[in-house]
Amino acid sequence: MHCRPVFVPLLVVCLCASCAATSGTKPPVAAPAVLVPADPPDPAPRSGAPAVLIRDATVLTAAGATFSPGYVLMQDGKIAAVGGGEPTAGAGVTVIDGSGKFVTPGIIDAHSHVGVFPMPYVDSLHDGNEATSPVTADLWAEHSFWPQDPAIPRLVAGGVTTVQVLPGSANLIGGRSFVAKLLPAVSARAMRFPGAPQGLKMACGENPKMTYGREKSSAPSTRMANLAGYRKAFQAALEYKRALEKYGRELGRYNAEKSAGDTEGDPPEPPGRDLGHETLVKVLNGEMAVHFHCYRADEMEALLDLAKEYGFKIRAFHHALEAYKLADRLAAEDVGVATWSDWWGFKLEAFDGIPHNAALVAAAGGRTIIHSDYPEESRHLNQEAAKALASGKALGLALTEDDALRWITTNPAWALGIEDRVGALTPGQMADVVLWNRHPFSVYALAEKVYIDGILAFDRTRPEGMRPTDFELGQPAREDRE
Amino acid sequence: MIPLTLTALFIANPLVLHGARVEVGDGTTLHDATVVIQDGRISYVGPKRADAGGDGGAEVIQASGKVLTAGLIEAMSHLGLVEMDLEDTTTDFAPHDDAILPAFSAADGFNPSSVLIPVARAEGVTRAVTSPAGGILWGTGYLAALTGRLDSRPDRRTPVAMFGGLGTSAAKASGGTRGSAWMRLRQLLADARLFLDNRTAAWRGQTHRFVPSPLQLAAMEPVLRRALPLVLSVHRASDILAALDLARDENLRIVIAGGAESWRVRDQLAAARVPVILTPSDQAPTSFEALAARDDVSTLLAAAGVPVIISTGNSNHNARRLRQEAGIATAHGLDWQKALTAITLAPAAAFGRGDELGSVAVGKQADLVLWSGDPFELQTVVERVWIGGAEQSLRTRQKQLAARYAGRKR
Repeated sequence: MHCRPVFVPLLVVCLCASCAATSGTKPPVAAPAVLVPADPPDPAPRSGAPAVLIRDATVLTAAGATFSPGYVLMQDGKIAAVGGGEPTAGAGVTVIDGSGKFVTPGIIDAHSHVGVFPMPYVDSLHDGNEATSPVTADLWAEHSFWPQDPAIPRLVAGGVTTVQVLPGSANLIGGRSFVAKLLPAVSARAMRFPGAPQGLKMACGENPKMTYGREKSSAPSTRMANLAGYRKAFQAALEYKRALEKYGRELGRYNAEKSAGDTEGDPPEPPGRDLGHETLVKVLNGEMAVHFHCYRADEMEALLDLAKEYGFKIRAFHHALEAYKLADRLAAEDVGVATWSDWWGFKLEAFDGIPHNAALVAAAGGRTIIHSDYPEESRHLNQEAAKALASGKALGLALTEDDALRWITTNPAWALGIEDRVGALTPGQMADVVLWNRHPFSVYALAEKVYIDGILAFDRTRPEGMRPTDFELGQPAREDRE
Repeated sequence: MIPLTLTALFIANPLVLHGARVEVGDGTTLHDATVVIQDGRISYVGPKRADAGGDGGAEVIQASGKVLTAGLIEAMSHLGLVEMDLEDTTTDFAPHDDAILPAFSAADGFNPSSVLIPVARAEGVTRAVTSPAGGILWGTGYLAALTGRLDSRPDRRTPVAMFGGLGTSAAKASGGTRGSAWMRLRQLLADARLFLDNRTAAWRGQTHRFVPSPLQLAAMEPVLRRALPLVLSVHRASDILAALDLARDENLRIVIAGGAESWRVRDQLAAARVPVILTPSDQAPTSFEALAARDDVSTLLAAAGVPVIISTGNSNHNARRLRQEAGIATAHGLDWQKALTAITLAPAAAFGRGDELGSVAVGKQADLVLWSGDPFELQTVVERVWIGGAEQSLRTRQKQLAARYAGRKR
C-alpha cells in the first residue's frame, strides 16, 4: 500500500520533509488556513459484524491453496481462520453448511462506473465524464457518485464486494478514482473503502480525440495532441511541485531564522493552490496510482515512455486489448493489464482484441485483471475469468484456476493498492467472502451469500432477494415480493 | 420455401457421427446416438447403427463423450452489416433518413466477408437473423447462414421478419411521445391497406396522397397478410400490452424483442402465442422502460407457456456469447432443454424456418455443432461445425493474431 498519511494535506507533507531537513526536531508548522485536506475522510469504522463459520465447502483462497473440504471463519469483520478439515466453532458463531458449495474472496472490479453512470441510463444521472475540458485532474469521482444506483445491489449479487469507480474516458486526465465497498449507505463517503488510496484516471486514443476534436473542434483532435496534452499537464505539475519545494525551503529557512531571532521579515508567500496540479504532484511523488484507459500496444508503449520522462509509474492499463502484443514489457515493468475476456471490435482501436489477451499476459508473467466497465458485465466477472482461462488453455498455456481467480481478486486488489486488506482468503484480511452454489467458473454458478466486512450483504436464499435501492422501492419488479 | 442460398451449400459426401449425446433441440436427448448427413440434410438420427455409412465413401466420426446439437441461431443481430460500431463507414444497419422504412432490406448491405462472422461461427452460431435498427419501422431482416462465403448473401426476396420498435426510442424518432409513434404506425398500416387494395387507383392519383412512397407501402404487404412476423422491440409492460392490442386489431403476427418487463404480462403473451426474444445477462433497470427487469424473466415466461428465444441482443461481435446467455438463463431457473431450444428451434420457428432448421431431426438442414461437453459451460470448446452439411472452418482473425504473438519469446 502507499505510504499515505490520511488527513494530512499535501503541502504539509512537503513542509514536514523540508522542516525536518532544516530545523531538526522542530514541530511542523500548521498549514496555511486556505489549505484543506487533499485526501478524503474515511467513514466511521464498522462494528457489529457477527462471527460466521462456513464449513465443509471447497475453499478457493486465491492465495495458492484450495481446501476441500475447508472452512472460513469470519470474526469482527475480518477473516479469522481458513483451513481444511474440521474447524472448531466457538460459542456464538453462526455456522453455515457449505457442503457441495464453493467459497472465494469477494470479487474486486478494478474498472467500474457504478454510481457515476448509474442505472437507469439517462442524461440527468450521467455524471462520469466532464467533457468540457480535456484535463480535469481536480475532479473526484466520488463527488459524482450516486449511492442509489440500482446496479450496486446487482453487483453484490454477482459476488462483487469492492469496486474502483473511475471517471469516464472522455478526458486525457479525467480525475481521481473512488474505491468503494458495496454495503448500502447514503453517501459516497460512507461507502469509501477505509484507507484505500485514490487513483488517477487517464485516457488515450480515440475517446479524448473524438470527444474534443470531432465533437467540439478543439484540442486534442489527434493522438499526437493527446500525448502533448499529458506532457503539458505533467510539465506544469512538475513546475508546481518545484514551486512548493522552493516555498518549503524558504519557509524552513524563515522558521529557523525566526526561532533564532535573526529575522523580523514576513514569512514567504505560499504558491497559489492548484487542485489539478496537486493531484498530478501526488502521481509524480508516487503517492497516486495511474489507471490508463488505452487499447493499442503502440500507444501503451508511448505512454510508458511518457511516464518514464516524468518519473512516474503507470499502475495498470485498462481495456488494454492489445496488451498481448506488449506482454513482455508490461510484465517486466510490472504494469497491470485490466481487460475483458472477449470484448472487441466496437471501434477501430479495439479491432485487434482477442479472447486470449488476458491469458497471454498472465503467461508472460504479467498481472492480469478481468474488469467490467459496465455493470451488466460486472455481474458475472467469475464467468469472464473462466472464459479467459479457457482461451488460454486453448493455446496450451499453463494456467490454473487459482491464476484465473486472482484475475478478479488479488490482482485488482494490487492495482488499487489494497492487496494487504482484501483479495485473498487469508487470516487478517477483511471478511469479504462469497459462498457460491457451484464452482464459480461454471456458467450455472450463482452467489448464494455475500459478506462484506463480515456483514451479510446478500442472501439469495431470502425470499425477498436482493435489497432494493431507495430508487427501486415501490417499482413493479418487486410487485410479488412486497 | 427453401432459399436458393441454402441449396448452394449442399455437399455430396455422406457423414456419419457415432456415439455423441445428441441434444435434439426439441427437449429430447439421445445418448450414444448415430447421426447421418446426406446431401446437406440429416438423413438419420437415432440409436447407434454400426452399419450406417458402412458402404464406403462416408466420413465416419467417433464422437463418444461429446455433445451434438443443432447449430445455434442468433435471433437479433446486425451481423454482416457492421464491422466496427463506431466507424460509420462500416455500419449499414441504421438508416437515418426516416423513422418509417419498411422497404429497407438488411440483405442489401450484407457483407458475408465480415470478420465478425467466423468469430460467431467458431463458437457454434451457424445462422443469425440480421436486421436493421432505429426509428419506428426499421425494415426487413434475414436469416443468414454464417458460412462467410459470398454465396451466403441472403436472397432479398426471402426476408424472415419486419422489424420495428415502440417505446422510448420510437418516441424519440417521432417527436418525443409514445403516442406520436403509435399514430405514425397506425397511419402507415391504414395507408398500406388502402394502397394495396387500390393500387391502380393509387397510381392514378385517385386516392389521398400517401406520405410513404409506394415502395414503402408495398413492403408492408407480407406483414399485413401475416406471411411475415413483425418483431417489435418493446420493454415496458404497458407497451407490450399495447403491442398485443395492435396485433389483435390489425391481425398481425408479432414477436416481442427485448421484453424486459414481459414477465408481468406473461399470461397475455402466452394466450396470444407471442414469442419473446431476450438477453438473460441484461436484465436490470437500465432504462425507465425496464424498471421491472428481473433475472428470472425467461424462467417466468417459459413457465407461463411463452415461447422464449435467447439472444445476445445485437451484440454482433459477441454473438458468440449466445451459449453463455443460455447458461445464464439456466442458472436463473430456466430448464436446460428449454434454454437450448431458445437458441435453436425457437428462433427457427419464430422466423418461419422451424421445418428446415433448429433441431437435429431427419430431413432438416445439417447445421450441426460438435461440442467437447455441455455447450453452455465456459470450459467447453467447439470441435466441429457444419452448415448445410458442409464442414466449416473454425479459424478466425483473432486466432491468427493470437498465433502471431503467442510464439514470441518469453
